[in-house]
Amino acid sequence: MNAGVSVRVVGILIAILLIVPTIVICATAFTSGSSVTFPPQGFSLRWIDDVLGDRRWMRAFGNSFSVGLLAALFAMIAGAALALGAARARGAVASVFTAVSVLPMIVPLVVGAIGFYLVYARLGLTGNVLGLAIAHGVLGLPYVFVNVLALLRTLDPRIEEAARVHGAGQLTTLVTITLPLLAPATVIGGLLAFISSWDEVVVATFLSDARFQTLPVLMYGQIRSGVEPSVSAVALVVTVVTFAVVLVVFSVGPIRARLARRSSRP
Amino acid sequence: MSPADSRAPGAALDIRSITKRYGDTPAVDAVSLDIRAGEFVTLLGASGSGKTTLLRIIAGFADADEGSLLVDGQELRSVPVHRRDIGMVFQNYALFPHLNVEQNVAYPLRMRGMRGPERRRRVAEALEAVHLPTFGRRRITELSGGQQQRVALARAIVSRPRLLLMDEPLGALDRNLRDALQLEISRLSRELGLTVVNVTHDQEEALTMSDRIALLDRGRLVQFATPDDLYHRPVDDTAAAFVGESNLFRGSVRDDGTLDGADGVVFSPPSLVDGSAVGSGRVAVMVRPSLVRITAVGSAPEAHSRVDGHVSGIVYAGDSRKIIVTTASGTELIAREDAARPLDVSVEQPVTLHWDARSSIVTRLAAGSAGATAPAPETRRTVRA
Repeated sequence: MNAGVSVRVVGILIAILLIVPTIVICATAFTSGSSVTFPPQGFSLRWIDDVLGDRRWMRAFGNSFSVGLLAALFAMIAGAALALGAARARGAVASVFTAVSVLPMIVPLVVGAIGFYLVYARLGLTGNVLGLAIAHGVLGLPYVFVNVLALLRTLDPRIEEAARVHGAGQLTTLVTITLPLLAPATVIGGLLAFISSWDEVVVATFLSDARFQTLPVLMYGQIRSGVEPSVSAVALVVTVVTFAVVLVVFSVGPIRARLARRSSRP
Repeated sequence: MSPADSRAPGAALDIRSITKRYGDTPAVDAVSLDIRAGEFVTLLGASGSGKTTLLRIIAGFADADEGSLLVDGQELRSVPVHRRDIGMVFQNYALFPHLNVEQNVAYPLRMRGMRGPERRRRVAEALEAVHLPTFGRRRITELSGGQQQRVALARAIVSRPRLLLMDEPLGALDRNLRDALQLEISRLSRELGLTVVNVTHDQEEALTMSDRIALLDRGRLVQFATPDDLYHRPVDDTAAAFVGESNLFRGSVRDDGTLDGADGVVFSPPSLVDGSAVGSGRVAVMVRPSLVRITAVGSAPEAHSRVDGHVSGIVYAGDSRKIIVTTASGTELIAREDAARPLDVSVEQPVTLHWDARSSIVTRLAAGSAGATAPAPETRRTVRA
């Protein structure tokens, strides 16, 4: 009982440390004053309105969204392919697939960012959506890889054998059976990759310029010149989008679990 | 299925000295089986006998190191899995969880490029054949184990394959369901004229369903015979011990045809009864427990073979009763009698087991079997009555 109480106290403390700043910043977005204070003075939607009408913010929003979607797509394709490779290859080759796939999680972000900058600058991939999307795709790849590999490990190999023996070649088996079964895990990994891209600031800073900025980069720039309630309003938008994606992840989760259970070994 | 369609007989499968090694140990050791078109053959054996490996070689999931597989005279080994025209039922069903029942059953037809009303008709027929005509739209996850295996069976037969392979198809089901599906699979395979290769470790299932049984032991073919032959005329002690319950006495045959060193058994007549050729001086004599009678010491008929011992256990098994008798040398023998008969022995009671001379079946000892200490046979000998 005592242990239960202390666990709860610790839990609540951690929750306060994690959640309160978010609540504070989101609450200040509704202020009717012209400075960021908590509690907010009065209530108004003027800052949110302001941000939604500001072309600079909206362009950054569009950039972040396109980069996130494209990065998720890259991560899903590459992550699922690498997971299939790691699950099907043997010995050293499988280890290489795994190492390559988790490397983006291990390399210090700032080192990776400099690397991306040096290479992408030569390829003309800085200051545009495509370059940052590829970089974020690489960073988001481990989420897809880990998710898909976990599902592949529980997938009964005889399901694919059943497809082959009943007339499907290797490629047909992959397209009609394996990929549909991996889809839920791939999508979840992709959503996580989207979230990681959505608020990524280090690599985005290196790969952005005056005309191409994502939301976090622009926010960071704004904060350096003083906190305005419009930043709070943007923070609110960023948070809402993230929560929406997380909600989707949680609702896909049970579907995936059900599929995995049904298709796994008894 | 309509009568005209059911005349789609399976192919003949000629397995010629197929060998598969993992490292130095052969998992399948020069196994040859000549399976006729429309025949139901079961590969029977304990785990590690090579039965599953052989089935996977036929399916194409593994390739043999040596030997050939001829389907209606054509070499199958060079044909990729998906072109072998096989239907297969797996132990754990291996249905496609993201497709519904109808889509699962339609899959082999879809892969063969069949579409439209013809495909729908064939799927409906297959579901009809497994007694699930109204289940087409159900999700796989909504089905019980028995229903899933019926769907798997429908998927395996829907394209009328040349070969139907079954890998322990009933292993995951409970007993009642197993019995019902056994009969159904036998019926279907006969109606459709399918050539079936079934794998099981369950001898009862093998005896019930098969036209012929291939008994495998440590990668080698022990015997390929009808259930009747396998039960009544096992080729060696391995077959005798694996198929059905048996009391086995191992020993060597003396020059006068009598058996030496068989746990104190008195054979009557003293020379062994059986017309069969025995491969070596060392043989096993097998007596089925249901043919063994039990009586008070000294009251066995003169004409019967007999052995003394004491009752060490009485076990009820449904309609029959198993009486375990331990002989002076410590060997446990079994007598099986009708459970409806009044019990006239008790544990620890000294008794004599006896049986008609014709109940003794003489077989050779398998090389490497527990009782075979003698080297390779040097002489062939016939033991006569």
